[in-house]
Amino acid sequence: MMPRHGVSLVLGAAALLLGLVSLSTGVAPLPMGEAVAGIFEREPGPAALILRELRLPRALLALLVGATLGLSGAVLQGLMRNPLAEPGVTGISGMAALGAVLAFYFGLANVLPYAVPLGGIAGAFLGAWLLYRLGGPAGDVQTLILAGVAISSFAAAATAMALNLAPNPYAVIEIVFWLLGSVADRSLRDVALALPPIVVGVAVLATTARALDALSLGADVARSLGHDLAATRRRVIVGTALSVGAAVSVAGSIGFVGLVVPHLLRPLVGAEPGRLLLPSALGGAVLLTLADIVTRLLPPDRELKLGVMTALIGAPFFLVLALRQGRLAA
Amino acid sequence: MAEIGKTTEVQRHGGVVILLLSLCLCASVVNPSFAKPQRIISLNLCTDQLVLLLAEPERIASVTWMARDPAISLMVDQAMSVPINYGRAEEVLRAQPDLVLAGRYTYAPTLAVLKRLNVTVTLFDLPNSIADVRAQIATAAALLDEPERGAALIADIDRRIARAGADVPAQRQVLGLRAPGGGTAGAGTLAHEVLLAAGYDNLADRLGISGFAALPLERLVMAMPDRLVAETAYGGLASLTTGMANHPVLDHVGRRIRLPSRLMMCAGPGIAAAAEHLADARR
Repeated sequence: MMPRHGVSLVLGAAALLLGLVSLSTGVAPLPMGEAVAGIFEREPGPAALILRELRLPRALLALLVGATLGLSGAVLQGLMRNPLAEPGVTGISGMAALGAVLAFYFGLANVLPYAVPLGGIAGAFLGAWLLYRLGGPAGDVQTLILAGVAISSFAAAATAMALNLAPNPYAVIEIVFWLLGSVADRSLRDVALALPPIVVGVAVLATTARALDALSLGADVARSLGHDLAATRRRVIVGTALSVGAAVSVAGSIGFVGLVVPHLLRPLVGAEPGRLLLPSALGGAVLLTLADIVTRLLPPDRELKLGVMTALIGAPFFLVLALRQGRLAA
Repeated sequence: MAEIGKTTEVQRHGGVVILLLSLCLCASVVNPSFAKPQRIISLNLCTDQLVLLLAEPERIASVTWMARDPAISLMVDQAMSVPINYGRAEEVLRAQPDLVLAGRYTYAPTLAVLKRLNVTVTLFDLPNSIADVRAQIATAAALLDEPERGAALIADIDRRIARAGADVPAQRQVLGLRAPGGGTAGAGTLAHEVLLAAGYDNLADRLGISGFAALPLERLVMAMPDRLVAETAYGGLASLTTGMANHPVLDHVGRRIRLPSRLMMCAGPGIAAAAEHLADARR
């Protein structure tokens, strides 16, 4: 086992490095010197424009969204004491997409600039709350997963219906974005919309670390150590809603990041949920940025959605974990 | 009791279908092809416009609901005076048409079921050139038995396109065309011919693109055209596609020409209007 800070340092460096690789990956070969030099100019040249207006938001969003998903996965697994919990599988991301879709396509965004992230946050909040009601700490692994299946199926169906009924006919084909997610061709506007709620949500989630550690010893122990578990739960729900809701509202719902990352890191940093939070956030940023770089290796008209990449990695992972859980339970 | 009711219903429906089938067969027998069609159905926005331009409203059984949508249709007013369909096979059967026009990309299962039910459907391809446009108008005019109207329409389009390209500067401006889905049209497309006719160079062609292909934002920015057309139909309604046409980076790429996308959607007088609009923008 590596010291925790060692793992975080390595992951942080990797995230930074991949962010730079992401900035230098794209269809147009970019003279980097010229691009960087022109970035603060009033009338930037093409290279600087591409770097500032297209690649920078893309790299930032991959890092931010990945960190959000990794962290919220680790927190949900800790709170629910369930290794299969994560925003995608449990339907929280799906509900966030539904909320964002309702706010976006039906004209609310014209009235209120923050409508789309707020819609995402409201949807994620509802999803997290429902999940906790249906399959919370008292429930077993199966109950949680079945609740997640129900919530995500509902969210996907309602999203499809909303897009079918949306005033703009293009909405129907955009379902792929909301169900599978992408950070391609987003703008700095999207970063500005998503960043504040993500920062606040991540900060709220970070405050739960010690309570989650205590909770891993059992609810009674946690209470006897002075942790208010109801308050912890509220903070997890609010923090997840803010960060995941805002992330999904600009990048669509991207599954399995929150599942895979904490599991890969647990052998390195130990089983206490609290120790896992920072590395999971950094690991999520690394994984999603890497996935986004790989999507760009295909020709641009064939570019994969991010959720395809993460599901190709995550779904087999999920299966193995579910089978292992079943064996332990039996 | 319920069982019996169900059986009756099934039999009744079966009867209706057989009745319709026989009616269709009769229709094709009593209406030889040389007679002027009197119950015309169009299943495609572009054939809608040809039918509305070339045939009297009394002869039109229905055009698609899209013909009444001002965002994509050039003939909203005319479409208001004829019935509309939603492109379903049963609507076609019920109307007992003597001429059915559709596009090559009309929903294939509908075309297949119509074929199985012996309804003859004339398919129109996507036109790839101004010559194709002329040929399609002539074909439609022949089917509708309106050759004079067809010839007049073709002459009008030719005259307007020629005027749009009458004052082409020696140094042509480069125009970048970006369709809603992020694609563009290079050599061998109708859009390419219209851009050239209006006095521009097509950026896609300069980039070596022929036919329809993706034009990633990065390539568009790198190429820096003089002018940019990146409209979407339904520009006022929220969608990611609309958002993409308003990506902030496009504010720095070429002076924008607001070309209503309904002009470029179909072969027909729309392309003449598009050429005029583009030519006006460079004057």
